[in-house]
Amino acid sequence: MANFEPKIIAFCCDQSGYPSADMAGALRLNLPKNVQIVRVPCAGRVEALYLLKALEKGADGVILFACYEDNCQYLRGNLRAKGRLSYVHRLMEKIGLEKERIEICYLATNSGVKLAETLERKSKELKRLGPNPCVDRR
Amino acid sequence: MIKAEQKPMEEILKAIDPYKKILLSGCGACVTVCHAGGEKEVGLLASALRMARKKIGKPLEILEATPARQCEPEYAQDLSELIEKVEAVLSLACGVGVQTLVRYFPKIPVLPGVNTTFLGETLSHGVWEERCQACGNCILEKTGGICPISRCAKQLLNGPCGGSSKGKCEIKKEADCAWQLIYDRLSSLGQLYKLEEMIPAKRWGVESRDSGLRRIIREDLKI
Amino acid sequence: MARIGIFIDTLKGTLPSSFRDQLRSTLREIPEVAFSAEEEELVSSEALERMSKLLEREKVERVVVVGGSPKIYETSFQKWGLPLPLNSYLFTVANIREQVLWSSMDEKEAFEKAKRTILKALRIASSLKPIESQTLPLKPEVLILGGGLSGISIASTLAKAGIQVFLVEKEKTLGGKTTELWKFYNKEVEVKGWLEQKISELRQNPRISLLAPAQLKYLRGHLGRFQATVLTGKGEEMTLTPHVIVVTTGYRVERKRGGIYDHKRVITLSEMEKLLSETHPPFPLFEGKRVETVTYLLDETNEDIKLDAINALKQSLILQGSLKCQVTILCKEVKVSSEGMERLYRKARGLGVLFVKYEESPRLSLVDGQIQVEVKDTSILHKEDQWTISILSDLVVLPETILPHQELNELSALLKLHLGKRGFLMEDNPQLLRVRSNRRGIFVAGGCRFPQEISETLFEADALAQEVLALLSKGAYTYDLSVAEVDPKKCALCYTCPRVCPHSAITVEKYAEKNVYLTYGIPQNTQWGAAKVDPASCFGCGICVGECPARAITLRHYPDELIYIQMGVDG
Repeated sequence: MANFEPKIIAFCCDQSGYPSADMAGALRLNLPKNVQIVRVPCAGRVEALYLLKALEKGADGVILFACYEDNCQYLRGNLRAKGRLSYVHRLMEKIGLEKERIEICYLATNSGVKLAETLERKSKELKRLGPNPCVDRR
Repeated sequence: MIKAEQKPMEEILKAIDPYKKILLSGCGACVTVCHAGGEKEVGLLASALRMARKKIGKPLEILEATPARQCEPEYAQDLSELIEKVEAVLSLACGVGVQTLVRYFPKIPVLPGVNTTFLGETLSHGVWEERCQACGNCILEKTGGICPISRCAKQLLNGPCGGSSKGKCEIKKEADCAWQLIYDRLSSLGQLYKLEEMIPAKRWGVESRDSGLRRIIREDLKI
Repeated sequence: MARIGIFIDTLKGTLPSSFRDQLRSTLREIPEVAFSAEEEELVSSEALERMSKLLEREKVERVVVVGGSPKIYETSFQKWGLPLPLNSYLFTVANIREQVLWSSMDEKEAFEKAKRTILKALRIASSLKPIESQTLPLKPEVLILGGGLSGISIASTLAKAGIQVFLVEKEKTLGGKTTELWKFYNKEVEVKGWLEQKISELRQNPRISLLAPAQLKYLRGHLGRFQATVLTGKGEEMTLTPHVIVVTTGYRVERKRGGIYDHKRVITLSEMEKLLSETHPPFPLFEGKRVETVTYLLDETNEDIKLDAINALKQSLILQGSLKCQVTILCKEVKVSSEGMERLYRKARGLGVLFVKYEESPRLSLVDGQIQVEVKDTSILHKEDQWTISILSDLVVLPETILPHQELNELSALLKLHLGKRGFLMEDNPQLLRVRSNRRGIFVAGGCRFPQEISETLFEADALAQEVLALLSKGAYTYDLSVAEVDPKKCALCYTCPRVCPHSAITVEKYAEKNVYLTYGIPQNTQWGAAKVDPASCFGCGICVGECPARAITLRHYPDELIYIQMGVDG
């Protein structure tokens, strides 16, 4: 595959993903180059449509950072996000898009290292999978 | 309410294959309530279809709309501006909505995007079950409010079959035997005497769906 | 695009000057940027004053802060309500320190990314809309469900602070489980007199209206506008309009039944308590015969509740200390993590109380009118050498199983509260927000949340009273309208949002005429015809927004546009 920097959109909730992203910076951990961090109040705010639109508009991969099960401050935001993700996975399967492009990762407020590692792993995985096939190549 | 489920993606892709610009139209009534064809599903399906077609190099332009309903003349006609611009309509409304659009837009193909499955009740969020088959002559009074036409696999009208076992149906093992439910309910209401009255065979060919296309006319309402 | 003012927080010089120069020149090119000011420490009071003056002079419409993580700026501008001449929601933060400069390897790359982030922040700022705040008047009227120890304690504290309290109790008498206790474990006072005094003070308090026996039939409304229908013992229905609700309905107990457990010499903790209260020295009598050996069997019925250990220890001190009995306590773990318990445990050991830790359940059998308790002594390390001890007891004390009330399911549905995994009421956060429920304005304490012993119960009751006082003391609840909002024209009345809302803040007001759009501050009984989010009860999490099949709900401080711009797909 050509040397490309996969564009990853990372949805980070105020309780886990976003502080972890801050912490990754504080620890001077390097995040992959083409990562867009999207701040949301809770993973439950992330609609299924955003996940698909991300890919439709050119992202190569999406990661949804949410709190561990039983840990959501709003009780069930992370569970609803998981349900929406499985709906999107079923759609992706049917249209021939690799399911691995969209993933959910559970972490806590202080998981700077886990966030950086997950993004790094995702970037490598996406380099292997190749760029998003549903985007016009310029 | 009418319950529906989105059609398999392969079917939808095959149906819209010849077109380059379509209108994806949802419906704000029954299919919204059962999460099959509301504005949310319209957005998701449009995004997925665009990507699927881009992937195979046959881009598809999709206009999105979700009128309040598709089964009234005015709502259907409201879509005319959008329909003028497209080659076909993919409708996520129930079969009624699709056919209403066909009547007002005879020159344009209207394709169904959902399978209209049944008239059903919500058991819990995300779980729906069939309750009515629109037979046209409701006998719920005689059966304690449990419908044997929709809930009995054999549509029996006078008591269970010999296969009813431990309250379950012999055709669909997980389903409750409707006549067991009817008996229990009439018993709890103290109305078991109602079972002594024979329910005559339904006159399917005369007063129901086998008599041909059904129509209701209210002369007093006509404008 | 709106006129935007930019404040660059150099964070005490941690923003490299080369970057700052590049940034200044880039920003000069952008027409919407009215000015860009640099500050060493933006959240210091002097800097904020300068900021305030600059904003007044320049008359900008939006503000972008370029600096570190947004939390600290949000706290300064929004929570502390600093007098900025701009709505506190019309600013956004470009987090370029933690999330860009510190996490990029290459300096040049980092600058490029930071510039892109700031440009994005400018687009975000243009899309922001002001969010007003609203005030909900709160009257000092509280409804307390449950007249046990927690309910009584909270009622007295609140009444003392001037609050009108309605106390609804299911039974005719007050006191709950505390009436079964004879002595405290850490006070030399008899419970009966102490409790009776509390109850009589309560009955005489003019600010407390006691309804007993009575039960809650319906609850409608939200914080500050509850409508509670209570069914009294005489069969009449009363409608109360409290502004805050407190739930302290307690728990129930069930005796373990079957086989040897039905024997009369296998008694419960409360039966032993009663026996001790009627016993005169030198020794206790059971059916006229002297009781010499008492064995406590803990952790059989309740695995991880400390309450049994506390009561068992308290009783054993009396039995062994002054009633000439030999007490053996069998338990899986010795639970001494309550105030003063370690001292009591040592005292008990000193008096001769035996403690045996077991892993397999002890066996009980009847031998000549006494109960034989057989247990493997796990204090020996090698499993093969562990002997079985057999204790012939006059009485075996087996604590009752502690369970939630059978009506709790129904009550939680009426109040729209969540139940935890054990069936008790769920608190919002067990460490930080123990007395709050998932609904704003409804508080939970005592046995219905989790059974505890008296001192802890009293602490919790105090904590709850403090929370209620904090809420009611200002006479109003002020909140930002950074909440979810339903568009009634699109609502399909499908009931999805009331089901998913974790805070039970959404109700469906179903009437005719869906096409009537009403703004905030509408009176209580206006016909709405769609789902309605109560802004004072909404926590702004956005779960309902993603579930609504008609996409009829927007989250005012996190609309779609804001997320699309962050994703970079707004073009």
